[in-house]
Formats: sequence, C-alpha cells, structure tokens
Amino acid sequence: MDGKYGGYHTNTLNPTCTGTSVIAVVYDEGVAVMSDTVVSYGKSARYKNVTRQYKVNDRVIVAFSGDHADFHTLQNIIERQVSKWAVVGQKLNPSALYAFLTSLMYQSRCKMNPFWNTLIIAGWEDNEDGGKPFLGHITQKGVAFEAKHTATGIASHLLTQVIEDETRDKTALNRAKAESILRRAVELAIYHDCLADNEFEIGVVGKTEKASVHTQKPIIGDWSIAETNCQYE
Amino acid sequence: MFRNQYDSDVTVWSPQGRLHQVDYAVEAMKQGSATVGIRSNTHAVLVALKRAANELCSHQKKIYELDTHCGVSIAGLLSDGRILARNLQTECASWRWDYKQPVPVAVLNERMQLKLQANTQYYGRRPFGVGLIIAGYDKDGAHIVRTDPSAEVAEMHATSIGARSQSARTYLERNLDKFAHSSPDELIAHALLSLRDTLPAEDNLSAKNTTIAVVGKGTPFKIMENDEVAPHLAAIAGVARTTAVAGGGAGGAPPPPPAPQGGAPAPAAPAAPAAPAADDNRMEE
Repeated sequence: MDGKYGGYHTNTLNPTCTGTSVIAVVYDEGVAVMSDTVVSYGKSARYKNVTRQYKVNDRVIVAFSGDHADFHTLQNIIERQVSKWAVVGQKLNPSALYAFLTSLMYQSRCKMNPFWNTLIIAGWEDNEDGGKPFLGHITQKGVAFEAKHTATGIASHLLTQVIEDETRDKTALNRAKAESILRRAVELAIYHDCLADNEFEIGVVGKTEKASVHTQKPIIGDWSIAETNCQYE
Repeated sequence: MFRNQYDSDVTVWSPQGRLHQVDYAVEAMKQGSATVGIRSNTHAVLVALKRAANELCSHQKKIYELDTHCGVSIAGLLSDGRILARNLQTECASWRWDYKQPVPVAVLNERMQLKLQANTQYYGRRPFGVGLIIAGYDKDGAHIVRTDPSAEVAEMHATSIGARSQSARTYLERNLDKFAHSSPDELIAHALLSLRDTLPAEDNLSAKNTTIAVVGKGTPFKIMENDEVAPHLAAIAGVARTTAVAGGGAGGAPPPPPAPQGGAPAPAAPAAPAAPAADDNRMEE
C-alpha cells in the first residue's frame, strides 16, 4: 500500500461529469419536474441529450443534479429496491424511496464517501383517501425536506423566489400552469447559468398520469438585452 | 421413544410422503387454546381463549402487538410463539427504520413463511410448535393470515386455529358472507360467537379468559383484556349457543372423547369444509 497517498484509503471527493439544476413544482393532481439534458465536464458542454430523470415505476420519478457516475450507482441501488418490493407484490412508493435515499445519502457522507448528487423525488402517494402528490429534496449530505416546489444547484438561489411568487396565494396550479412556470424557469436559467442548456425535459407524475418524461421544444429566449452588456461579444 | 421408524428426525420421509415430525408440530398447534381471526373490508379482529394452568396462575398471554397496524395471535407452544412474535416485531421495526412507514403485511407473510419452512428442512432443527393468526391493516386493506408449523402461510377471510377450532370454522363458514361489510363491533361479536363454539357445554367465555384485538382503517392495533372485554361478551350473552353440529362438539352434546394421539392428522386445508377432525382433543399446553 505504499502508493501515492502513503497507504491511506481515499475516496473521490469531487464530481467529474455533472448536470446542473433541477426544478420541480407540485400542482393540484401531480408533480412536474424540469431538468436540462447536457452533461458538463467542468464548464465545457461535454455530452448532449443525456437524461437526468429516472422513472422508477409508474408513480415515482427521481431527478438529480451533480455527478452522473454517482447517479448511475444510485440508479442501480434503486433498481434493487424495486425488485425487493416486487418479490412481495408491492410497488415502491415515493415516500418510502425518499426515506431510504435520505438514509443512504447520510450514511455515505458519514463514511466520507458522499454521493455527489442532489436528488429530487417526485411521485404520487397512494392512500385510502385517493392519494396526494409527493415532492422531496435530498442533498448530498443527507439533509432532506418535502416542499410544494423546489430547485437544486444555482436555480435554488436564482429561481425559488420566482416560483414562490408564481405559486403563493394562488389557487391550486394545474398541470399546464405548472409546466409554464417550469418553462419560464428554463428561460431564466439559460440567461444566468452558464452550465444550463436550452434543451430540456419535463417529467410528470400524477393521480391520472403515470410517470413519464417528455422531451421539450428548446427555448431560445430574448437575447437583445445582451447587446448592452459590454462583456458580450 | 418413537411412534414409528420414520419420525426420528424432521428430515426423514415416511414412505407415505409425510414428515412425521412436522405432523407432530401441527398437532402441538392443534392442542393450544383456540383463537379466531376475521376481517371485513376495513378491519381485522382477533379473539383468543386464554388458559391458566391452575387457580393460582395468571392467564397466558395469547395476542401480541407487532406494530401500530398489526398484531398476532398464537396457538400451540406459547414459548415458541413468543419467539416468532418477537421476530415479527423486529421485522416491523426494521422496515419502519428503513422506509419510515409501516411494513406491508405481505412482507411479514413472506418472512414468516421462509423462517418456518427452514425448520422443516434442516437436520437437527425442529419446527415451531405454534400456529399464528396475523391481523393487519395496510394500503392493500385488512388482512388475516394463518400460519402453521408446516410453513403453510395463507391469507384468509376468516380462520381459527387451536383446540376444537373446527367448531369455530363451522360457524365462520356459515356466516362468511356477513363479514365483508361488518362494523368492528359486529366482527368482534362474530369472532366471540365462533370462539364460544369451541368450548364444551360446561364452559363459557369470561372477561378473564378472553382477549380481543382489533385493527383497521383509522384504528391502531388495540388489545382488550378484562374490563374492556366485558361489554363485548355482554353483547353476545343473549345469543343462544349453537347446538352440536357434525364435528363441532359444542353446545348440548357431551364433549367428544379425546382422539388418539399421533393419528395421521388431516392434511392442512385452509377454510376446508367441516370434517370431523382429529383436533378435538383438549390437551393442556
């Protein structure tokens, strides 16, 4: 073990190929999740058309920002959970997966080997009163919370206020309104986040909609104001 | 001391294709005091008859709470039953720890089935000498599950195990169509009436020897003893006891003579039609 690090065990403690923000909004009968489809290698847009939303079953979607390789590991772990539930005829539900992943993320960070991801768990929670939408957010250190809307990465700083303004004190959103808020968020994201892309997906899961992820038309936005920015070429 | 040359170990087959040690364990279950489980679409109920070895002795605990949404009733060797109840409690707690929600009853069935079966296959082990009735309520609704030492685990609408339990099953079969839409109190009444049918004419249910448990929609698992049982017994006191039916042995008929020990037991058949059963002997545990 006389290696470069003098025999100490080491973990990879920085991400390599990453995805930027995820934004999700709860509406009256479901949840909508937005993520773009570019994989960044540092600041460079290394790969395109790569999804960041994993459909677990017809009522749960897990979306992530952060390291793609770490998420592949998580995807594998989630798949094994789905099988474990399936052998007893059960369907993994969003709150169970949320609780499980929270513990997993916290356990990994305690071993000084964190998953470099922020996770968004979106789903429809069946219960005896007809069910309710579920939206959970888990950080790479295992801090977790449920919310009516949430965002990861730079969007959590830039866009949560925009979404809050759109949703607070309003009558319940419907799916169309939720998706239009997400499109507006994409536009603001590509203005402000140099890692964000205008090619994106919206995943939807709800009372009547089985979980599904849809590729969206790219948003161009209005760049005329950029001419007034002296640093813009 | 063996009854025949094929029962020296649990792994030994008889030429008839039976595992005699497993059959003996099923007999142990049939000699335990009776317990009954019934479910409706929204609730599940357990009732059990507790025995006391003598006047100075307290009654043996028959029903265990496993979690807020499920519990188990035991017939047979109660010390074996306690081990299984503890094991199920651990399973419930472990699932809660992992997923922060109650364990589906189907998961408990699976685990219990595997645990029971292993003891019928390995040299040097013995089967658990108990049958269980698990009552639970989860996303899939109310559940009654019956297990026995041969590792047969089955979901039931209603069932009973233990001494003279055939009489209780006769009652349950006759009233099966009423259970689905019964209220919890009605389920308890049906369960008590069927349990009463397992008693010989000179005995009766009392607040001391009867335990009731109920679980269901909006109702966490609750065990009732003594004073809480009394009103439910009062509610059925006016119902006349069923007269003896084939294989029943309850009511006016004199108690049947103890069946010979170790006779080939009837093969386990969930909710099988009433048949004069060899399990009518009332042995103490």
